[in-house]
Amino acid sequence: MTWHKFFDLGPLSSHPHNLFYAYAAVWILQGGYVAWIAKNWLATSKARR
Amino acid sequence: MQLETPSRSVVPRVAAAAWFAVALVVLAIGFRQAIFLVPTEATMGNVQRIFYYHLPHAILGMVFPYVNCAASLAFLYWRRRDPWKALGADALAVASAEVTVIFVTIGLLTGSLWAKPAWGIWWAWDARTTTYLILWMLYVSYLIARKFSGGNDEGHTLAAVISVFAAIDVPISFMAIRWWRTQHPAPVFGGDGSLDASFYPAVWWNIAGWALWGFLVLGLRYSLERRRQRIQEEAALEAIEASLEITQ
Repeated sequence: MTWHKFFDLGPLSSHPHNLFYAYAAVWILQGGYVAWIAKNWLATSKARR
Repeated sequence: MQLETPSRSVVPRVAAAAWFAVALVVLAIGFRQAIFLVPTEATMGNVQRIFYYHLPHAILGMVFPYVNCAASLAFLYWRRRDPWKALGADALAVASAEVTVIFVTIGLLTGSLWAKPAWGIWWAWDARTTTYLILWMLYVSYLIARKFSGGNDEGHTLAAVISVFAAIDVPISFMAIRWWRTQHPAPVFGGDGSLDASFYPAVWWNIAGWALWGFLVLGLRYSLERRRQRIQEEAALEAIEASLEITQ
């Protein structure tokens, strides 16, 4: 498989886009959760001061 | 000349940064294996590559509930005996419950994105998918019970009891594809759905990468909860001191 095929979303009926959506969803959810932890960590640092 | 001893807070931060770097490297290798290196599956084509992210999340979504269950049992044991240890167990319990929800959500989502091209439907109410959805609901209930209890001891105790029951669903969900005929594929290791060895590198690198990531996130969330507990404790002590000064 190539990068081109990975990002080639194609027609909706054939579902090749599901691969890209699945990988993107994983990184958005995992990255979003880590970002939320980091944001709260910074908030607690301010509270400590 | 004497070497300076690093402060206590620096060591865990360096360890976390190193762990984070290793997890990212392993995940990058896993991604390369999954997308570019392992052969394309004959029946499903490239969409089958969703499996390399689906499987690690589905497996880890069944591991973190046991961390949560052990921490909840420790909380129930210590809450009257040693409040400080109970707070530590409670922090681990909430951290592992949140990480469980993240991993199970991704397991369900990637499974659904895979199901549509594979089965022609987004969802099937079979034994595996249903028990896995119940697992997700139980952990969301756990977090809601904590959130709306206002952080009091009774709410945390109720959540700990939910957690013990939630852990019972894990082996049922795990065994569902062995006990019953399901729409969900049979076990890929040692079952009827055995995976060809040429796909193993993508499977193992991604399991290792997401396990490293998952336990790192668990540690970070645990540390955050402990910080919050210390701040609350300091605020409570300051309030007590202030009230004592007023009465004098």
